[in-house]
Amino acid sequence: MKRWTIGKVMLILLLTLASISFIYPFLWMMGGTVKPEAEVMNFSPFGSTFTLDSYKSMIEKIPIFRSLFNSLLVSVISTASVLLLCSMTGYALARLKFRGRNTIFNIILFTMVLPFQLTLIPLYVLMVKMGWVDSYMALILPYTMSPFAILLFRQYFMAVPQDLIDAARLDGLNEFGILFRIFWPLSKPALITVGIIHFMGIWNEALWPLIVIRQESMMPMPQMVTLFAVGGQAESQVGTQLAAAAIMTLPIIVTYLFLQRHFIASMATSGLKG
Amino acid sequence: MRQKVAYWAVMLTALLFAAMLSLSCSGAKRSTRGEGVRLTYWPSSNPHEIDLARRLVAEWNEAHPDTTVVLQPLPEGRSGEEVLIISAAGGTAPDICSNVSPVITPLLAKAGVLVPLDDFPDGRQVMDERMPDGMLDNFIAPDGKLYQVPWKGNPIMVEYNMGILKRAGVTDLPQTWSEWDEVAEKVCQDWNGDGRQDVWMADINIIAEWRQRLFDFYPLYIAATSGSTLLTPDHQIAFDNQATLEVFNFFARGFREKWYARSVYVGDVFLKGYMAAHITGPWNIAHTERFKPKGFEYAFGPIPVPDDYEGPVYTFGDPKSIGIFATSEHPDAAWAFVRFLISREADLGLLETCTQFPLRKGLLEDSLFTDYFEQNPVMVQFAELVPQTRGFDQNPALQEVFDAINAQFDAACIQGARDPKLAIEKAVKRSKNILDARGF
Amino acid sequence: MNAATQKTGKMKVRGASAREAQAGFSLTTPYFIFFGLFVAYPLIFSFVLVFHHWSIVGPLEWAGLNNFKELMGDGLFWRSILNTLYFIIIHVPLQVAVALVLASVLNSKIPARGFFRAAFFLPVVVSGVAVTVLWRQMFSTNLGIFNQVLQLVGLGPVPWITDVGWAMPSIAVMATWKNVGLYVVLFLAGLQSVPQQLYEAADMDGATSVQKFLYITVPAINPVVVMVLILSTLNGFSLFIEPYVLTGGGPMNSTLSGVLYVYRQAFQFFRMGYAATIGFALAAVVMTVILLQRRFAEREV
Repeated sequence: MKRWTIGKVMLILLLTLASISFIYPFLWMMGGTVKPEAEVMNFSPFGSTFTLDSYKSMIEKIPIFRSLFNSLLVSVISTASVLLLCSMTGYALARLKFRGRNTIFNIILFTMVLPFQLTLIPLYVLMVKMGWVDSYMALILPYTMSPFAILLFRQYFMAVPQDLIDAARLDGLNEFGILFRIFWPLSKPALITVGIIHFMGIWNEALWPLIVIRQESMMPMPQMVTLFAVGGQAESQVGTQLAAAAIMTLPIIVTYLFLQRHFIASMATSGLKG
Repeated sequence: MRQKVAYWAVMLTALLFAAMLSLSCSGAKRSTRGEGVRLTYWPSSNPHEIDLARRLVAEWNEAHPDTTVVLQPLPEGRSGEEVLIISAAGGTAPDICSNVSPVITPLLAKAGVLVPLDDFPDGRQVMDERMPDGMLDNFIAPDGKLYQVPWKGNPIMVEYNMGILKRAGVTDLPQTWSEWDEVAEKVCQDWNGDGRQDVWMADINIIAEWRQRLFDFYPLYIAATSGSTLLTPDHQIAFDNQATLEVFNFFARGFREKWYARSVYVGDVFLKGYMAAHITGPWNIAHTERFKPKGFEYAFGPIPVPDDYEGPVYTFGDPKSIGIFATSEHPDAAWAFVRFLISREADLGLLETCTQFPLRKGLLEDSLFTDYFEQNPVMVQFAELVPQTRGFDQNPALQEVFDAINAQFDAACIQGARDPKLAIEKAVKRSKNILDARGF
Repeated sequence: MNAATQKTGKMKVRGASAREAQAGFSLTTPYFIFFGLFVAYPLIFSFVLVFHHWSIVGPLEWAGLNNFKELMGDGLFWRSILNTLYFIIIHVPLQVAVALVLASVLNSKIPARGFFRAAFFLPVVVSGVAVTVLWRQMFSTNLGIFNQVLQLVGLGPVPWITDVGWAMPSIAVMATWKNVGLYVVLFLAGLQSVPQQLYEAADMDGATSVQKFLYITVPAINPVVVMVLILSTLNGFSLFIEPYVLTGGGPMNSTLSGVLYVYRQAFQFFRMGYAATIGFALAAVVMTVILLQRRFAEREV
């Protein structure tokens, strides 16, 4: 099996070329942020000198760290809320018998196939009327729950043996105790999956903030970078635009490098939702 | 037990929401009124304009202890239009805003969001005295009222890279379309001998967004028609004419001859020396000074006009207005403050601090401004242009009319895929439908 | 306690069942609030909006069926639907093909599989905005690195995103690059679930590798293909940020997507009623396409 046939070498060559094509643009981007502006468009990621001018002028122009904080805050709160609220709903749907359970389940299935294009405008109007435009409320509230997370928790919780629940009830645990002391520890993969998918979804979301946020100090990263790239604020300096994109990209790439397996497994699960 | 579960569920949810509420610092809360009159004023978020606004507000508050003006910069990031519309819809509009684009005043006026100046006894008179002759008509709403104080403008001109022109042997800035074309022939070459063209005539933005047309089609159209705008005062289509066709042909020719690159520009291609010309306003002087490479020479010329054109050259003036919002509890105090904002002294500040031009009669003759123009000769040619600038027709569907033209400009000029005559017919037809649907 | 709990009387222990029902209601309360506020209300309001003209400031103006009439005659709307379908027609097969090839290669015994898989997956985790900002620079006709590479082999500059014919395919390629890693992983999981014995049995019968691929691999991963089709179609219909950043919908509206058109009508022209109408129509198209795909794909299985 250790023979290196021509076919195998070709395959490895193909894979190597493919992976270069996936990695090189990011190297080029990182290189572009520390090159002099005149050399940014050169093919080589290395410039004649190393300079942080692009970062300096980007930091002068936009409150990038504020928006990094916004992104982090919004993603963390809404992910925490999804884990909490959706596991509650998922638990009720999986393990508790009550009237209307099937109705709720069907409603959730229905909202999963509901295209977001349908509710985009009225949702925005709701934000305006509630005075939530330009606030964290607008960024977080519509993402406090997700039908996908509920269904995933439900599926996971259905596999937990009934004996454990009965024993817990005998011990006097209430439903929250059962959920958090029995189900959560048994469902780490589900929690990780929901956590990663939801966090990534919010972290990368650009359309919704573009609609509900106008004030620069409230913008999360994707919106900030989009407007920086499309608008005139970057004063046509390519390096500064790439620097903004880099600040948004780096935290995710670093996290990904450490938690690669979890990322891949989680995102693959999210694929299965269809 | 049951109650406990329910209790916890409700409490947890409530806590979560409360946490978010406390975190949300939703922008402009209306300040509670103490004694006297309090006015909220939103200037543009441009740092120079904030400086000016700070100074003026301080002066005002000093002189008027009974009327306190509170300054809040207009949230930045998006078009000011959207911010204003949202704040009006959400009930958080200020009393006064000095960054109202005349593009949206008809929309705001129709919704009853703005106070017409006709409500003040001296409203129209003050404006008649201030505005250069013939300019005020361009700001009157369909119902005949004036819902805005036309405040400032930035005449659009052509900035040239003199180094490129000299290298190509051009000494005089082009004034007419054929002169422009001749210069384009000369500068659009392969100068470094790598077999590819490396200089273009101008960085016409090929992004098909209607605002981009304010820096190519619109100023040339205004110039070619001696200051006509897209619509007539009675809201009929005015651009269905020979001038529009010729302007379309002018740009179609340029793209066909590769005088303008069909490229989405990355970086400042003008300062990097790829473009001989850049259609822009006076704000670009500061940008050029800041980012220009060593030895970069530039000069401003007028918008080119048809060869047989005679008379003063008109251009697009990129105007901004001051608006007084109907939600204001003290419209008269607001109007008094606005009159202070457009006083001669304040206008001098606008020139000095922001290098922007007040829409005021006789700027160059007024002794108050003499020193400024002596020290800043570049600004004189812009000041001369101010009375010959045009802005936006006061029609709520104007953006859509612009968009219809933009789509056809894209097809006929940038892509060269449609006969300009047919393109204009299509733009006219779509615009007619748009206006019909609005009942004009 | 209340009528609802009493009716669950079939349970053996009344107290326990009542308690369960009570807990069930409490635990699902947040979802009720969420659903009411962020799903039901917008749905109803959206339905109201399509019969009105509204600029968000000022009152709703009754429009009857005018928004629908306008929609029917609005060339740009139909253009945006066709553009989106065009994007999907290029993007989806390309995505499936590339992902299938890379996954098959990764499935054979070669070194550093983990590295390759991680590399392909890298763009998946990065935000679409960053990817688009980056590719915008690389796409530049006169200065971009794609054309620099092409120039090395003597090919003329390609107007990637500035030409009517090129722009949408370029966006589709970029989207494929961004997402393909996810589908590689999905296919790989599908491929690895095929029992090895099947291949060994086929080997003994003297089957060629093409035969093995067609008769063993393809049927085994068919469900994954169906899923990938539906997923990437859904993604395709939400195309927004790429044209927003890259082309603004041009050249000649060739990259104007449905969502971008909604965005334009709503936030550039402030026509909320018409924007909601377009949203309704888009949703109808999405549902139809997905249903057709499901039906077609299920028949194939």
